[in-house]
Amino acid sequence: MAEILVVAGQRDGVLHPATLEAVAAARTVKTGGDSLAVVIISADPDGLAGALSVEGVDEVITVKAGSNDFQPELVEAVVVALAQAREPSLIATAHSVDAWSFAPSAAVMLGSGFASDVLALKSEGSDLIATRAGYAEKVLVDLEFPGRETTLLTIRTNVFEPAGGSSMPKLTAMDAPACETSLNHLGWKEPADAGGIDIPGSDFILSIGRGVSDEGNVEQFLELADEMGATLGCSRPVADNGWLAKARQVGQSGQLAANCRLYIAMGISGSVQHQWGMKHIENIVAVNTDPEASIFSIARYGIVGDMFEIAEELENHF
Amino acid sequence: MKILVAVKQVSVLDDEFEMRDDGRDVDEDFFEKDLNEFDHFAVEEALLIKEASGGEAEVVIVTVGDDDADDALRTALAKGAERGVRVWDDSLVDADSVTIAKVLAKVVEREDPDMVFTGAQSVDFGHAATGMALAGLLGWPHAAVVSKLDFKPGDENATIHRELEGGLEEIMSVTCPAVLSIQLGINQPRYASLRGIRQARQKPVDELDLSDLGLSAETVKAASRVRRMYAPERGQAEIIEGSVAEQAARLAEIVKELRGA
Amino acid sequence: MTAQPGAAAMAVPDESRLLIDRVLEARDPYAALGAYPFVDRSVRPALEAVILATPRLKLIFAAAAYTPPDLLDRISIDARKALQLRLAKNPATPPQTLTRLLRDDACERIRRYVAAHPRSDRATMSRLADDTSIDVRRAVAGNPNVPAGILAGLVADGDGQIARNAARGPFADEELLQALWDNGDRQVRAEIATHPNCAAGLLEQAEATADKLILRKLASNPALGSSALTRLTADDDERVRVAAARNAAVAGGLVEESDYEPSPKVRRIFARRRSLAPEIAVRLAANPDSWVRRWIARNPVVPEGTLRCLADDAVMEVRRSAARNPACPASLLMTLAGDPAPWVRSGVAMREDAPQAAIERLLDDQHPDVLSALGRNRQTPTATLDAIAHHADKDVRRAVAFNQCAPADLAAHLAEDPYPLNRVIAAGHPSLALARVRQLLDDPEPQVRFTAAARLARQWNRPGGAPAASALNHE
Repeated sequence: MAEILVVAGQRDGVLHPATLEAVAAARTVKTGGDSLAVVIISADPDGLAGALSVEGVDEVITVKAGSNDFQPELVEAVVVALAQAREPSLIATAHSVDAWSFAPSAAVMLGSGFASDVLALKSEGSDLIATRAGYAEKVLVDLEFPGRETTLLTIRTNVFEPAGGSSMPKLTAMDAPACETSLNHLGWKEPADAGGIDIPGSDFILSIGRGVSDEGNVEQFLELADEMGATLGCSRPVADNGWLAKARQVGQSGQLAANCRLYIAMGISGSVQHQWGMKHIENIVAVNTDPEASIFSIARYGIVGDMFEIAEELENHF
Repeated sequence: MKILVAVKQVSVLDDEFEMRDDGRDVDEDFFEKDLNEFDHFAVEEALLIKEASGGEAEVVIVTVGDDDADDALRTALAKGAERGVRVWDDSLVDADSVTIAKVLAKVVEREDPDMVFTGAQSVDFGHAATGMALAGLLGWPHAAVVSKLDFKPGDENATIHRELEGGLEEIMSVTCPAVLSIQLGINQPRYASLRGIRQARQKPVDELDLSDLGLSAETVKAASRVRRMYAPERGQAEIIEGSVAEQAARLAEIVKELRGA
Repeated sequence: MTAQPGAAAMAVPDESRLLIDRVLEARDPYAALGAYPFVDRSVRPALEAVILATPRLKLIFAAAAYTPPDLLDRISIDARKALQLRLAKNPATPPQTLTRLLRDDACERIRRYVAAHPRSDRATMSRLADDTSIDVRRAVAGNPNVPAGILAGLVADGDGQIARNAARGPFADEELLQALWDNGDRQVRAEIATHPNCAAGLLEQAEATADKLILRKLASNPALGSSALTRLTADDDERVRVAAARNAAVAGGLVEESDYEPSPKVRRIFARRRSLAPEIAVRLAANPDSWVRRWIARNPVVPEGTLRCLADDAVMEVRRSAARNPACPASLLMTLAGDPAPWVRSGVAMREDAPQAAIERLLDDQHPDVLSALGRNRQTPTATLDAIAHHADKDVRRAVAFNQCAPADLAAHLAEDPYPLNRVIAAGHPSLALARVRQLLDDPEPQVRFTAAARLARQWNRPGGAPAASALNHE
């Protein structure tokens, strides 16, 4: 019989949705006798307890804080206090930006096992195995935690289906532990709407490279991007030739496609300089006549073909 | 006034690679080594603070790594940092973020800096953990994914922006000294001049091992161990086959699915 | 490129010897690789030892398209699987090396890469056409150089993907296309309908179908006769009309008949046609769709008066198109040089045919796009190039490194640029003095050393012997 602890996240009193993904991840190693507790720290934790009463949750621990502001030291103190009192085998939380702040420090304070951005977890005998990616997602790594009674894991978001269903968990109120806080919330800043050509802000970029081969061919891709609702980007040679504005250039020399979710690279071979600006993007589609172009090694989908033929056909769909 | 920037030499893999015989890492023939991209921004931020203060600050670069990692350290020094510290010990070969943080904590004790910067994460493993684990060991104020920083030598508080999910930023003040992990885009990292690169070869670098820091293999025990490393089943792009019309139709479908249209 | 027969007996030129000694002493694989294709065969083994000194280097150069074919062939002797895979994928791998990669134990991936490789020879393709793996056979069918005879054997398989690939093969002949048509599904037939080798009878059959996909592909066949094309421009399916309009075979008169085309997509395509009658161009220039005006403004057939109106369009991109129109008169370029939008001004700044006065009007411009364009323009005065070469933005500075008319001192300045790529480009600049090129052998960036060594080796081993010693001292 073991305890599992999930640390919930909230922003401005709204539950971080990935919390339920962390619960789902924790459930994958929960066995019959185990109990799963979720701890929530907020100005009104009872108000969030309902949303946390999902299948598999046996207990919700509420910690009333002075405000909803994120205070890493407070979260760390709660985690340490609970871990010392309950000796959980697993502490899980979503790999959110807040967790980036508190999870590694909480782990060293506890002297626990630790892994971040975990994609999958399982038990092998009495060992907990956590799987994460490495070398820029090119390998998977199975990690073990020899000699650790407790292991703290942050769970990659958008991997586990959020836990659903309902349960009647026990509600436990916990006093906020005393701790010094050294960060003060001053305000929020919404992402800027840059207007005009905005490669860093765009979530959908259609990008063209050397394959476009002539200035006269560029216009039809501007038109296609417009029809598809994409921002047109380009690789360095296209901007260096003056065929597209420098503001459209993606890469080390150029812009980082920081908020892009879908990137279609047409006629781009994928130099290191270009990859710098886009290789992090989750959905990359490469269209290139050369099946060995390095862009394919980072793409999720590939089309070996002529960018013009594909573009002409693509227009028929938008 | 001193700013310590912890940097990492990362390993970049080519698209074709083979595993090591023990199955716990990639064969090192396939690695290209480089200074972590995020660290360029962390170093730049420290240099900007130094330059804005009229050179009142000293920027010290620290890395934990073998002889190879000297290149990454010199890359950072070439940009204008004063000196470096490189810690290595053969027992660190299986080090994880927690081990590195324990080593760095001793370096911080030794150097007594007023600020510590790291990159928000490394581009090879993306643990996003070393800096904040270091803060936990030191008991220092800390913030991750800092996308804007307002700080000058002598300030008791720094104003920071934390970049959250979806590009939202939280503006906060943080008590100094602090450990901050620096996000891409916070500044425009410079490229070292050829002169800077030549000078970096002469800059002082303290080379330390664990015993120099009063540590041992046992005291820096890792919080995880690699049992197995392997290539994912679908490592390569899913190639869309068919006629041009079929390929374009599938691409249009992918766009519409992902765009929720 | 390669040494002449008997060259080994010739003395290695002194300067070349110095370069080789220096490269060998530094054990610099990148400089050695740069020099390799240009040096005498007698010194190549020594360079090879440096270039392939470690397993890591072998892996890097096996994958690199800039590695000389001889060296790729040398690497193929090593049976390491990762090397063999990289060679099979490398577009520079020569035919005989590709054949050698097909060892008895060559894995399916290697066979597939070789099957698809454009440099694979006929014998290799023929051998792989009998491969047990369907993916290998599909790859042969998709090889851009696969001859009709091999394709004919492959399609007997009845595989859909092979049929699709074969129908696109540039060497597919009438007979093969007919066979594919008879047995193919609509996707295969659509590919055949657009094939330039398609026989007249098949084209007629294609035109007779009601399948819009096939008609659309047929409409884009460059070999289609004008009467069939005329019929397709009147098709009730917009996408068929789009394809027909795009087809380079559309005659001017045909477009005229379709001037009242209801589809904006088709109108946009008309607007880009060089065969457009001027009076239609004038009408399209008043089209409310700004994309139509963008295309028209770029079209050299548009009369000057109309172009002047377009150069004053409210939409910035239309004005940019006017600035990029090859027929844009000097006086209009002068006006566009004062446009409020930098992207329009940069369109003028790029033009080497722009009047001097228009260039002068741009000299104080501060926008990076304008500065970059000026930096590459061979008409730009040296004083301006100097300022651009010292600009704070690395991407702006690089433009001058591309400018073949930039003077030696600016090339030398850019050869010390902090941004490595700018140094790489400057290293190849024709004005860069050889003495400076030689200094680049110490550059921290491998690609700079590669370029410098290649340049020096080529210089000293060119037919006609070494350059005069004075050239080396020229700064």
